[in-house]
Amino acid sequence: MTTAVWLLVYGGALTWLAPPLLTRLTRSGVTPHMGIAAWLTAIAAALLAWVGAVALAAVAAVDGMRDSTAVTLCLKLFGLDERAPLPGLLGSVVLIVTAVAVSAVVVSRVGRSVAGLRARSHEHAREARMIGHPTDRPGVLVVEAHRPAAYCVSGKPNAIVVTTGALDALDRTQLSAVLAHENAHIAGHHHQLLMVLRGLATSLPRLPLFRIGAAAVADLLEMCADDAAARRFGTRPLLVGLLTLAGPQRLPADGLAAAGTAVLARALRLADPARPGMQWRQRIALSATMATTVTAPAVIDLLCH
Amino acid sequence: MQQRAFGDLEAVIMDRVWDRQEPVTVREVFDELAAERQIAYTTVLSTMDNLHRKKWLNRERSGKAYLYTASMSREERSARLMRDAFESGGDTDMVLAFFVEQMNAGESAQFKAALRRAGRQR
Repeated sequence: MTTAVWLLVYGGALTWLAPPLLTRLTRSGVTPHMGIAAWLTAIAAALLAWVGAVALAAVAAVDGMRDSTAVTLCLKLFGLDERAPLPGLLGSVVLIVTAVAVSAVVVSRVGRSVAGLRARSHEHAREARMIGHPTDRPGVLVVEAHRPAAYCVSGKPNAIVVTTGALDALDRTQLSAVLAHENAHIAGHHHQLLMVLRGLATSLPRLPLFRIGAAAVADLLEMCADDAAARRFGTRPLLVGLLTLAGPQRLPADGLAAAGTAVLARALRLADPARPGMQWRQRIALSATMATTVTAPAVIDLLCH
Repeated sequence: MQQRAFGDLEAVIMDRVWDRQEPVTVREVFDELAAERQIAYTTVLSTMDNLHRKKWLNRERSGKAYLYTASMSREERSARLMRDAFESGGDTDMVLAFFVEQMNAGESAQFKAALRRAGRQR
């Protein structure tokens, strides 16, 4: 029955130790898809470890009560003193009820957060469709604004917003590359994934795996969309598009500049793609990480018995 | 620029209202739309009523009919939409996938150097 405790320890280790490792492995964006898979594996494994631990403890408690061996159960579970049987039983019930209550609160907070993000995104897409001018490209709307910018937002239907400033600054191929990047976000359902990750990150702000994971996956999704656009329109139009839309503006600074390092990383990997050998090394390292993440609980279970 | 999709009636009506400078009645909007497409007067009426309820249109009674005007110009709406977009990104806000966020001057210089390197490799 120590499995439940070990699962908790494992989930905790993932939550605090995985972020630095995964950040180092995935930051360069050599294989962004696999990088995302590695982050999602760690996040899913941490969540499942928690659920598994609570479920195992609850089952054990029920069994224990039925067989009147609650004392031994609690001894094993929490390492309580043999001479304190009653508080042990009470304690295990209180702990399990607390754990289930905490889980329910987290689930409802994540649900509310995702629903809020979804509603505001859909509202923004709807407003953009009413305010923007439609173009001959489906789903693309032009909004009058000096600042060159392009973004997409999920809605029913989704909207890709391009400012008149961006239209003036980009030539046709560059614009196509930028729009292909945005279409890749929509086709890959990147918004939906980001909403769930952002919901987890806001609901569990003290757990680094969720906070850092949400940001890291967002950066990697940009790289995936870059790759999709570069495959269709070439690296150079995309790079020029990046530079044109990200270049320092004569407008007042507004706090977005902090994101510039992520843009630079995107540009560097497009300008100087990793060699195949490097890609394979990265794939092997990430596969090993994912395999370890998934099999660790089974190994722990074997060692326990 | 392209015609709007048929289902986007609210957007079509806002286009009409914004294009005219003076107040407009449901009948006038209906006459304009009916010249181009199959549409019922009551559809236009209820859509404009919805737009008033959502505060996109203001209205004033004039005799038996209402005179509608846009509550904000298209430029004001655009500015507000862009402000919402550029200021988004907080945890409780919406999820927008910007093509790219702004860089500072130093990052921009590094970026240009990378671009030159990429140009030479070709």
